[in-house]
This record gives sequence, C-alpha cells and structure tokens, in this order.
Amino acid sequence: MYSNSIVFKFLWVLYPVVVIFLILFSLGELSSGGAGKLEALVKKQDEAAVEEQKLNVLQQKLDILRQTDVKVESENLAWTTKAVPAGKEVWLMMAELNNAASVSGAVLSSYTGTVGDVVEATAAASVNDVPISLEVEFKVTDFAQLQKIISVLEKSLPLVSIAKVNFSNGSVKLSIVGAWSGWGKAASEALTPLPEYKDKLANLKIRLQEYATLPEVMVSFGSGQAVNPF
Amino acid sequence: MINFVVENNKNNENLDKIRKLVVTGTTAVLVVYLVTLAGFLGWGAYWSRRESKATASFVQKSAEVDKLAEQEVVIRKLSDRLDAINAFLDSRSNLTTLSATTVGENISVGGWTFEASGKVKVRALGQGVDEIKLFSDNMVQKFSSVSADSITWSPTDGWVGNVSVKGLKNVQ
Repeated sequence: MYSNSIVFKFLWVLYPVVVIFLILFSLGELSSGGAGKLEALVKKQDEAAVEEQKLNVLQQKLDILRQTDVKVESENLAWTTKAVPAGKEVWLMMAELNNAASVSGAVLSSYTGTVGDVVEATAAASVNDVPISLEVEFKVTDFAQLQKIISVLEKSLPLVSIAKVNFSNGSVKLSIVGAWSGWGKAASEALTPLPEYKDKLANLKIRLQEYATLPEVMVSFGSGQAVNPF
Repeated sequence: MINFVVENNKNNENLDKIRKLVVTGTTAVLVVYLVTLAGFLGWGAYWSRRESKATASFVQKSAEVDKLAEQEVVIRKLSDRLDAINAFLDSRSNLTTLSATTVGENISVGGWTFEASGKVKVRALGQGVDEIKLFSDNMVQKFSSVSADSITWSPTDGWVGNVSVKGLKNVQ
C-alpha cells in the first residue's frame, strides 16, 4: 500500500524521461536513415531550386521556339546559304568572275583552282576544310577596270575574298578564295540554350543589303551562249 | 515531542514545486520540439512538392521542345551560318577601299599588287618627280607604313615611283 503511493507520487518523473527518449529517438531516426532523413530534407531545397532553374531555361527556349516561324527562318537560312554555301559551289564563283568581267568590260582570260571535294559537307561526313581557291587572269585596259572588278567581286554573293592581286601591263592576276561552310552538328540536348541570332541576322541584312546574287548558275563564257562549266 | 507532520508538509510542498517545474519545463521543451519538427517536416514536404512539380513540368516541356525540333534545327543552322558569314567578312581585306585609297592626283597606276600580308605595292607614273613625291606624301597620311622603294625615269614611262604601303589608317 505504502509502496504504491510512493510510485504514484513519483510517476511524473517518467514524463521527462519519456519525452527525452522520444526526442532522442526521433532525432536519431531522422539523422541516421529512413525515408525522412534530415540531410535529404535539407537537400530537397537545393534539388528543387536546380529543377526550377532547368525548367526556367527550358521555358525560355520553348517561348522562342513557339514564336519561331519555320518558313520565315528557312527563307533566312536559304538567304545566308547564298552568302556562304554549305558546299564548294565553284561554278558560282566562276559565274561571279564572269559577271565581274562583263560589268567592268574586262576579259577573263584564264582560271585555275584548287577545289577538292565538292560534295556538300554534313555533320556525318568528314568536312574537307580546304578552301576553294581560284587563280584568275583578266585582260584589263587600266587600273580603273581592275577597281571595278574588285568592287563587283567584293559585293557579290557567295562571298569571296581576294587574297592576292598582281596588276601590270594590261593584265591582272587575282587569287580568289570562296567562302563555304559545312553544316555543323546541331546540339540535341533539351537544356542547351538557343543561340541569339535575331540581332546578328538584322545586322547582317544591313551589311549585305548592297550585295548582289547571281540569278543563274549557268555561266556565260564570252560567246553569249549559256553553258555549264562542267 | 517532535512534530513530524510539519516537516512532512514542507517536503511535500517542495516536491510539488519540483514536480510542477519539471512537468512545465518538459512540456515546454516538447512543444518547442514538436513545433520545430512539424515546421521542418512541413518545409521538407513543401520543397519536395515543388521539386516534384518542377520535374513533372520539365518532362512535359521537354516533350514540347522535342515536338518543335524543326524550329530548333533551323535556328541553330541559321545561327551557325550567320557566324560563318561574319567571320568571313571580318577576315577578308577590303580591297575596294584599299584600291581607291592608293590612287593619286596627276599620277596613273601602272602596277598594283596586293599580298596576303596586306602589303600593297603601287607603281605610280607621273609627269614629274614632284607628283611622285606628292603621291608618296599622300600615302603617308593614309597608311601607317609607307616605303618609297624606288624612283626612276625613262623616256618611255617617264617618272615612275614604286611605293609600298601597309596598314590603312582609320581616317575619315
């Protein structure tokens, strides 16, 4: 009877003991393992932030893609390919040289060149990065005619670069390098951001607005008859 | 006779005080702990839900991006080509400007060479030595490097000055 009353009298001591036990037990469970680990809970915030950042990048990309008109951009791509072809369009270079001769009144007397593979380079194919290079000779009457040839060539599409000029005694030899660039491999990762191209395109359109393209691939060789150079 | 009842009551009062203190303190600790734990678990659940939502949304948007692959390919190709054009334009010399800059009054150009290094050699033909000198002085104003290689006279060509120039200045 006496011992029972003592037990009841000190039963409250169990309360803090049980609470301490519960706290230690739950902390132990949270920090040592199981689904609700403390560490995992802390990491959740970082993981969620990373996911949201990725989502943000993807959303921006998606917004641009939704606004993109494939038809318009394909036309722009076709236009840029006229400036820098995807393959070695040597016949276009020849046409440009003939055009320069006919506009300036000079006579195109010869050309020889290094071309290499003329197959359009793709990402899968090995890209032959040898530039298209032509050595050209014109018969000219004076320096003004050479200037005209140069100005026509430098305002023509596809783009060409005049690497060397040797003018003397009514003849001019030019080393011409033609621009070309194969298709690069497009990035396939969903999170790869899209390149900024609109400003570049607008600036380039201004830069190339005075440039002339050749309407025909067929080249006239003096006689007025249109023939294919090959 | 000693009165133990008073002593017992005192002990009971003290014990009661200790009991109240321990129970109150333990309850306070328990409440704080439970609130903290609930907050922490709630915080974890909140971020977990956000992550799940973001992941689900990412999967859905990835599928949308895949559907718009045609647009992406065109944009990338276009951007690459624009870079190629700009690179080509930036790398080439502007011979239209260069050839226009290397002409002078009262001289005619009998020879003109341009080398890949950017050096231009002009064979200037003039009626007198002063015209050749004037041409050379004019080139000094326009180019950073000017070299008067030779000046000759012959009955057929008259006065001939061979001038080499390089590095066109940015003169308005």
